[in-house]
Parts: sequence; structure tokens; C-alpha cells
Amino acid sequence: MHPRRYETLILLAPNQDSLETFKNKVEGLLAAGGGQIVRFEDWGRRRLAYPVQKETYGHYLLYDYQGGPALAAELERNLKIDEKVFKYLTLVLAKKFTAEDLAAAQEKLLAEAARRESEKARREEAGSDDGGEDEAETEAEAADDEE
Amino acid sequence: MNDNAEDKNPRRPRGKKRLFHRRKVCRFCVDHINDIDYKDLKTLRNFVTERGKIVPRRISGNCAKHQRLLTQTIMRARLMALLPYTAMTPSSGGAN
Repeated sequence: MHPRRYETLILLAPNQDSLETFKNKVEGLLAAGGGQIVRFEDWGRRRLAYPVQKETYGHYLLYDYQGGPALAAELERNLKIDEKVFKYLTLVLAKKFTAEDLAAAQEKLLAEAARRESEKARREEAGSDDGGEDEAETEAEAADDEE
Repeated sequence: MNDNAEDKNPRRPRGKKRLFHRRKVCRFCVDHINDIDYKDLKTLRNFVTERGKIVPRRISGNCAKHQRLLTQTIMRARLMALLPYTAMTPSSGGAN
């Protein structure tokens, strides 16, 4: 049986008190089941498109991991039990995801992150220039108002 | 909505073809996109009306294959409360 690549998006209750414990729990589950996290994203508190359990906001966590079908089933079983989990969705991203694929995927993610970082830095450079101009403008406007 | 109603009626009188019809091309075919991500809301929003309905193929110009894929993707996004099933009541105003 080949390991697969899964992606699970979890919608949690918006109050974040036990967020760290929850993350640790999921990571522990994945590790215990022989899974490898490829990518983890914390989307933070987001407005929901419709109320879920009478809440208009929710906290999203995204896990992208390698593991067997049993692991995904085990994770889903645990999510079902947890009352803080409103919804979750697991997708199979790849049916055959070997260690080499895993390394390649991680490398790709790192490269992407690096590229995004450099882009961000460039934008910030440009942005700081703009910011300076904006300040000058507001000052000029304020002066006009005084007159 | 109004546009739609006007669109339909004048078409009734026999076979008068629409004066200009723009050839629509499937956006996903053009960009060679073969899997649509349900988390990519920017893209999905283009194919959903203000009320949250999925834009039909005859409007969006998608090919059958991509429309099927898109529908499934939008349904996934709806499931995870990323997209609305329907427009909210004005008070909660969560449509966009």
C-alpha cells in the first residue's frame, strides 16, 4: 500500500483558548500514525459564509500530510469526537506519495516561500516609498484645512 | 436579473438571432488548469452570482468538463462555509 497525500481543512470554534493543545493533538495523531506533515497553514479567524452552530466566525487550520488511509480515518474519527471542531474536509491530493515525492513537495514549498518572501520584501520597499508620499499629502491637506 | 428577463423575451419572436454574440471560451481550458482548488476563493467568486448561485455554463462559457469540476469545487467550498449556499438575510449581510 502506497502512502497517500491528504489535505484536511478543519473549521474550529472561533475562541482560540485551546488552539495550541488542539494543534498538538493533531500533530501527535499524525506522528503516531506514521504521517509526515508536508504543509501546515493557520488561516486564523475568518468570517464564515453562513453561521455554523450559531457562530459567524470560525478558525481554520489546514493540514497537508503524507500517510495511509488508516491515518486519515483515525484523524477524522478524532475530529468527529472533538466538540470544538465544527466541520472538516479531507481530500486525497495524491494516491501515491512516496518519500521522494514528499521531499520534492517540501522543497517546492520552501522555494515558493522564499520567492514569496523576496517578493514581499520588494513590495515593502516600494510600499515604504508610497507611504512617505501619502504622509506628505496628508500633511499638505491638513495645512489646507487650517487655512 | 432584469437583464435576463429582457434577454429571454425578445428571443421568442421567430428566429431573430441575437445581433452580436461573443464567442465564449472556457477560462480553465485557456489557462490549462485541470484541478480547481476549493480554497481558491478569488477564482471561485468569479463563477458565483451575488446570491451565491453557480453561474450557468451558457453565461460563463465554461466547457462541460470544467463546469462539472467547478461545480464540485464550489460545493466543497460551500461545505466548509467558505462560500454561501445562498445569500444571507440583509441583517447578517454575510454574502460577500
